[in-house]
Amino acid sequence: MTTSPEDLSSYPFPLRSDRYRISANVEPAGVARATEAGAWGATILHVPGDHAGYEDVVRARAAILDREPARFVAAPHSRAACWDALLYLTARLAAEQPATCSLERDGDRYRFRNSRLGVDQEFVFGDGSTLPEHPLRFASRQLTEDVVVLGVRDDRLWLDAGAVATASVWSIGFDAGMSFRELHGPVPGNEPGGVFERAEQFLLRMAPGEAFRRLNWGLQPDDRLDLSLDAAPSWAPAHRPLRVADPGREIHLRTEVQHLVRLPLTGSVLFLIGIRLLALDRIERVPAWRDRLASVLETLPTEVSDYKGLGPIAALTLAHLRR
Amino acid sequence: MTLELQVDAVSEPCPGYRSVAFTLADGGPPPAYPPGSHLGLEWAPGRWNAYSLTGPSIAPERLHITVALRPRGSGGSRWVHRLRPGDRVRSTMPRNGFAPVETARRHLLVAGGIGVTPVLSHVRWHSFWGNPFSVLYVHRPGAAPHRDELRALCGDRLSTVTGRRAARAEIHRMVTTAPFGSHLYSCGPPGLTAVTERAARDAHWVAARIHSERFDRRREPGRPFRAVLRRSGRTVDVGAGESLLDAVARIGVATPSLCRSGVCGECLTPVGHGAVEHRDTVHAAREGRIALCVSRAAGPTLELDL
Repeated sequence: MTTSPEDLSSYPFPLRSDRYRISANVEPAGVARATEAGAWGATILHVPGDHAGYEDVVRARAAILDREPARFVAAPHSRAACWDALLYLTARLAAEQPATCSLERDGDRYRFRNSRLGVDQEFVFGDGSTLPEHPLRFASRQLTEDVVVLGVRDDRLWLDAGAVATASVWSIGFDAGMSFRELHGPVPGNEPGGVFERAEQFLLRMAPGEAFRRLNWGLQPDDRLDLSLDAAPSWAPAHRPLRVADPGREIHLRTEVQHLVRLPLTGSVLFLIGIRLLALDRIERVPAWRDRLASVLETLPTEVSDYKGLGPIAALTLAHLRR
Repeated sequence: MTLELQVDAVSEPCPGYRSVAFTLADGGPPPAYPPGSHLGLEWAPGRWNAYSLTGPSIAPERLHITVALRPRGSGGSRWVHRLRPGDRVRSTMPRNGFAPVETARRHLLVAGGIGVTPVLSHVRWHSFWGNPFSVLYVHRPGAAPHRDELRALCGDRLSTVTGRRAARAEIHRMVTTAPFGSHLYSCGPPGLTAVTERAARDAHWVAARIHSERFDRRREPGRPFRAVLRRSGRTVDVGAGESLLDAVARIGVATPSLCRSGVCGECLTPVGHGAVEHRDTVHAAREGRIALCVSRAAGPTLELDL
């Protein structure tokens, strides 16, 4: 859906070597990382420039959230954390997009403006009646990312709230209330002492206000952002069995830019997931990316390939890249 | 990461106690923080003490602490009591090991003496959000800092007692009459928190609902030390608030690193000679290595295979 030059120059190409293994691979957020085609990551929130898809993605997310109330969950005990998230996200937008976003404060009163979406909203911190909807839903409408809030209890993390329109084969309604360990149940490496236990310990030890990021990736035979289980009836039939006529245009690399932020007021963990799609044709414009993707697919361990659901599409992609 | 603070005002809430209000030296807004947080303040080169924050935690205008004078302590409290407006102080970011649990049906707070400081910030939070809570404040006669403030915030949700026997009776009453799903928080002298925890356990509370103040040492600054880098033939002096990783980078020795939090294992480096204070979670000690990003020397020098 994005074919402006920005799609390559700002693409967070996720493969940094010729082999891929599941790992925590976290690094500090907000630091620009150079790629063979440009750079990405100088900001935490991805707001594409003019005519590069910001309004399109925001509109698509809003349409899903409005059509399907089940894409939003918030436990009653997440109230303070959701306000914390709202304040963090609007302040972040104001800091990262000063030309189009602002957040003014007068005591408990705030005024948030986002001129690209025509948003001008005053609210009183903690007072739900001053916003048109739940604070986390409101905040999520400004973003290209999906938003999840993980609360801390008993030295563990729990999925307390989320506004998730474009999940990658999971469902926020199904996962609501799960522990961090339960959330990662299907992922290889989720044994005691394994990578997810360490990742949880890492998140619990982040200092308030700290932010980290990691990338995840997959392949898909179309350019759908919404691969949630909620929407599976509309996308799954086309994925299995795989029907691809023109791999270069149809197959897309699906990169998830995940940000993890320890919210300053509540110590909850804000989890942001941004989906960035790139067609194989576009990837081939950057020979280093083409070569690395092909090499990774050739050497991918079976269990990782199975977990990511890559079997047939990996073979097709590889054949196309090595043609 | 450290903050440069400036003393804005000092006051004496009652004899033997000193309250200090700080602003950021650069004039910026102080960071917000979860209730029950503390600051680590550098009171002498390389010596840091933790002090609980007592003021409003949501968009604070200043950072407030209150410190009891310990005439025979190691010197931190005497230093705080000498602070004057305009003095500059180096501080950690606010850190927390004592936050309220948002699922609690009711919050029961027990404060002993100067242990009132984190309890005060919990009370401000619960008042703001309208959470159910009650407070027991145990203090010596005539030495009850912040009692009037607590009274104003709590009304009849505050009870105050002096003396051990009265405290035990009141704690017993609290833990045996609270609704299921309540959480209990205590901060104060070790004797009082032990009595509180035991009373709760005797009343069949589960451990997950009993909390007392504790500190996370992982990111605390430490004492300065010298690192000797065997392979590159260099030495570097690591400052109190500086990580070994940053010190090594400062003199241009390249090392891989990623999380900067002692969990990813990327910066693990073999140790030659010298004792290590390990703060990582990847079991570097077992392999005779050190996580440069969080761990430090336990002595004056440390030799690394770097």
